[in-house]
Amino acid sequence: MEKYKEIEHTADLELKIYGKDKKELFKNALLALNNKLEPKTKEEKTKRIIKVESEDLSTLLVDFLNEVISLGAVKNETYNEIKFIDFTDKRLEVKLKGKKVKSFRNEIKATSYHKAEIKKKEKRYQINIIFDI
Amino acid sequence: MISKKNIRQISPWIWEIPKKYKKGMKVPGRFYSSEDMIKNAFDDRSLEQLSNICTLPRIQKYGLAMPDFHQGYGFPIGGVAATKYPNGVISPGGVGYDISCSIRLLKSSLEADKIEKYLDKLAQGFNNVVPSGLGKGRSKKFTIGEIEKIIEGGSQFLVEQGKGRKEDLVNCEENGRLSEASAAKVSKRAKERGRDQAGTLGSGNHFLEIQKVDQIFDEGAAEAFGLFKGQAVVMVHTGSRGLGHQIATDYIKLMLNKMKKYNINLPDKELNCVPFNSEEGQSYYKAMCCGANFSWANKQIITEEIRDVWKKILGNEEGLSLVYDVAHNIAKIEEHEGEKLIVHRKGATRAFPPGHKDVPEKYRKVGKPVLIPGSMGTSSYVLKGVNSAKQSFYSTCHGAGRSMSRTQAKKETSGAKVKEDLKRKGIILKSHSLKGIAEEASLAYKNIDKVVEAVCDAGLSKKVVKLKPLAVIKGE
Repeated sequence: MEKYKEIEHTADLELKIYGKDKKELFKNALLALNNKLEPKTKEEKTKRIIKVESEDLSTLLVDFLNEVISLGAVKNETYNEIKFIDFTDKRLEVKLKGKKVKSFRNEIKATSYHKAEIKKKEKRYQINIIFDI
Repeated sequence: MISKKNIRQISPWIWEIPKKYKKGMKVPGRFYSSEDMIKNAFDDRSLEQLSNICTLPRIQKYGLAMPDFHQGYGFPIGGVAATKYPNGVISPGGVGYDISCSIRLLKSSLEADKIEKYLDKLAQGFNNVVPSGLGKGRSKKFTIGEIEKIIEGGSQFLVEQGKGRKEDLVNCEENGRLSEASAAKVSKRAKERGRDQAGTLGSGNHFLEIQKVDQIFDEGAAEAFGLFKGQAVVMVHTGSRGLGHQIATDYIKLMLNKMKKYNINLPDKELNCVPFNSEEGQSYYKAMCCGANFSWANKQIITEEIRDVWKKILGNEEGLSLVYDVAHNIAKIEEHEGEKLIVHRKGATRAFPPGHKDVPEKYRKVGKPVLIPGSMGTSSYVLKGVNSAKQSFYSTCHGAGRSMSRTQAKKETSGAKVKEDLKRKGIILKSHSLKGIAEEASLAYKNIDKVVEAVCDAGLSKKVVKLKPLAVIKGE
């Protein structure tokens, strides 16, 4: 099953992300972000706990991705594993696991809220995310 | 989706989306385009985005899109929206994530032909001293305390520390510092993101170029700007890096939660805004000023680094002096026809006319220098502000403007091919990798010459000189 795909966008990076359930949607969004950053990783491992609160599920996903971008930038880390500790439509607490990085091949400035709305189609959740790059 | 039947032509260069097009539009939307370029105006969501900005509370006259406009998110790139001061809205989305992304032009006293044999060494030297900052920032990290001084003091703080010349301030927009900046309004995370990024270029369309003054259109203005035919100059394009991105992220999230408090409903979340004179509006403005100060400081550090390289390789004592530094992602408080306004320019450049008080004194007679970068391998321009740009709140274009997505550009060409094409044109390319080069190929952009023609014919600015690239240095 396709996890995400790239959509044509004139200036930035637009992805359509899929998931059979809400958790998988978040997991695939993290995977897509990580793939697009193209980190050159070190061997050293890392883990972080992050908490995000937002007014609805779509906003929660954008805020989650922004937290990952910003934390990764400050700590020079990349995260490819996610464990849910607490997850509602308005609140998220997760444990992220990943690696320290030497550098990123691509820069993602932030995730925008433009068009970011989670929809359920053919039993799958999906959302379009535009990253400012 | 908007189509040609929804718009009307006002003049050969101006097209209008009437107020009735969409519920909630408070003013019409106007965009600048030539007959030739309008065919592509409907290819993406940019005009829909233009109609959206016309719904901003207390927007004045028109929402505008400059001739290089294209799709963004929230605002179109090339978008201009002026709201009434002090209770009109301020929108972080109308400034963008790269707060005060801007162009700096440095001139030398040397003729480009005379330094031709040193060009490769110069370009390599620039590439060595200016990191991209993608996870691998500068080796020296600033402390949080130093970052606070930088974001409140901008270029002025650095020049006081001996990192620059006094003229670097005189020849810079706002003298290199917005005094309303308050470090207390910037999050610790944003400051952290800035610690190793002052003096880094970033990626995407950011660049350093060694250029040659190729053609002069206006002798008087060129002389006033200190430019002569054949002269070697250096252009820098970068912004406020991770620090600015984080300020935008923090405040966009905050404002999304606060819009209800002010009864603001908009067609797109990314347009989120609050009244300028509200507590949140004031906090964002002060933080945005910190972002602008960081952007100037970033370019000031880059300037000092490349001055050292220039001097070391060429032994040229005069080195590089600042012509001007102007932002194209910013909100400014300005007076227009006797009224104070909050003018958002996202991918648009401020272009004040001759005699305007905010034009540095030495340029005041001719108008503000407007620096327009081309795409990779194409020309760039120096324009000047004109009186007829009153129609656009004295705004003009900010570059060529993309016309093709990055994926499409990668399908059409490759990094190696772009490098080869540039080489054939006699242009040196230095970058840490060829990875992002195809995405930035000139085929992915509109034709800069046509955009500048449209800008000048529409009366938004006038041409002063055309600059030809000799060496391009890209971050990644």
